[in-house]
Amino acid sequence: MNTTVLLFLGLYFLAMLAVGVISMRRGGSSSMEGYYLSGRNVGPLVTAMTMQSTSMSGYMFLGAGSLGYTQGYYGFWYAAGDIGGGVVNLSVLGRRMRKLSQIMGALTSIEYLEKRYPSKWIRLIAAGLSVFLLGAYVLAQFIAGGKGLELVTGLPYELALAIAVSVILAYTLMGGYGAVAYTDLVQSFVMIIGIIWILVATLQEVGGLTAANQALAALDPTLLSVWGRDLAYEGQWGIVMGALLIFSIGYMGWPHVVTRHMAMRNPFHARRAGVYSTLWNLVFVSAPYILGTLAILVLPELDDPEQAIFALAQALLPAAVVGIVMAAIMAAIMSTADSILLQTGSIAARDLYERFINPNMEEKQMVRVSQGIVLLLGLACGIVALFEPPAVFSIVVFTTSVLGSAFLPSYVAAVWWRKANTPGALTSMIVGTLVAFGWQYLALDQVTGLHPMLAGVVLSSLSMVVVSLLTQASHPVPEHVLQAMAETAELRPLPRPLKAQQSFEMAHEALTLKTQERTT
Amino acid sequence: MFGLPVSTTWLVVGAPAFWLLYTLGFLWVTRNWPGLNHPKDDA
Repeated sequence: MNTTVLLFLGLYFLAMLAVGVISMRRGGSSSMEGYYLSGRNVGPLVTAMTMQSTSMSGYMFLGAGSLGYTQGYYGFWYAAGDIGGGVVNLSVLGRRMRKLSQIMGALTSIEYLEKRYPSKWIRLIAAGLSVFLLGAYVLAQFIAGGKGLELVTGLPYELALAIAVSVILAYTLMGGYGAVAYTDLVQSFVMIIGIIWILVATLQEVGGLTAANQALAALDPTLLSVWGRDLAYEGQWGIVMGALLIFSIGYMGWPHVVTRHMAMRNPFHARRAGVYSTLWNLVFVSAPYILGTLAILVLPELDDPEQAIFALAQALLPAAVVGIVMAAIMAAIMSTADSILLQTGSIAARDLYERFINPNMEEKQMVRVSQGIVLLLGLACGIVALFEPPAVFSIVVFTTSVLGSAFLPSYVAAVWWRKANTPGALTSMIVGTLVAFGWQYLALDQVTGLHPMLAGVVLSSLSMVVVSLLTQASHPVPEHVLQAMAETAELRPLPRPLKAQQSFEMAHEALTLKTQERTT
Repeated sequence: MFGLPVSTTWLVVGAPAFWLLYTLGFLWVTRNWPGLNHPKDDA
């Protein structure tokens, strides 16, 4: 166990806890809007960085490195989509979702869906699905955190897992969304510094990129191909398009990512946040895939490809720098784990417990319940992570495909298509889930050559369009929703009287009353 | 470029270039967005 590495990691954990304490003192857990959305007061830089660091999970250091190590440059199909994920999300949903969510008085991304597509079934299905899938995602991040800390410190996996989970739980419980967003900001910087450092060291070791590629070509020329080792994916455009989609447009279907729009201080901040996202992605996203590929040259006998980037750092960097790189790896894992944990707890508390079981709670009571559920969920996932940890990559790819397929059409149509109605959204969610799940479970990608995400998104989008059009007469979009959408489309501030009437329970009625007042 | 086949070079260089252009396009399309100077009032 290296004391310098431990010192860096210890300092990093303390810094995260300090952000949690500061967020708590700033009122992060004093109200529901404060706890869930940091009072909708998050600026563009923090919005962009929390979105990016949340999206880039431990997968980037484990799965992406592994993909590069096993398939060479084929991994770049994933990076190619990923670089644009943030700006696509912010340009398509950002401003409109921020405004509509406030008009509707929605505090979680699932509540937003019910208010846009009024039906308790929307909320029940969306919340149930989210809690199940995001819970699995939290589990994957905890496992990644435990494995990472175990490798770096030499601590037993169980103890390493307990430390990682305790730190994440502590600051998430203390400061809610504000703590998560601001720790994500710090973590995004740590991630960038760490990845650049290890990339520079690795490139120096292999004599530069051109020399490395020549050496790879001498080993196996197919490693340089876009079709994978031994051209395993040659001509499989259905798989490749899915790889591109999963991390470019797929983010728009992830409840824990689209929540970032709802917390922005100003809807127009989506513009600047989009630029920050692209800049950060341009530097960060490709690096783990390159590192995984270069690790073939530096560490040709690795037993576990998921350890490629960890092992590179340990082999090539001095101890002090290894500490920074390891903090970066932990940052990637923790910045995703905290966001998903908070989001899953919020959905369970607000969209299931409060909505269906105990709707008459006081605001402060609700915050305490949310914190309790986050604590329970964190402990449960931590305990499950102790036993037979499954492969991180498989879990993350599985959950992201299903989430993207299930929710993407509903979130996009919510702000862009006035005819999108409740039956359309409900069908789209069910079809997207079943197709993405079944496609992976039955390994239909191998039979059809189509990625589960591609099949899921196409069929769920078609379902949304066809069912919405067929049921326009029987299930028209309510007038208050159409009015809210019309207000959302306007490039102007929300009228003050409307803002003043915001109520989390009465948002529809408030909008309707205000509109009637204007027209009479 | 960098000792890579042409198709791989297109992917490695072309994808970042595409997203850079997309971002610039987004900036251009939204150049008239108001309210950036009054953060609290524009929500």
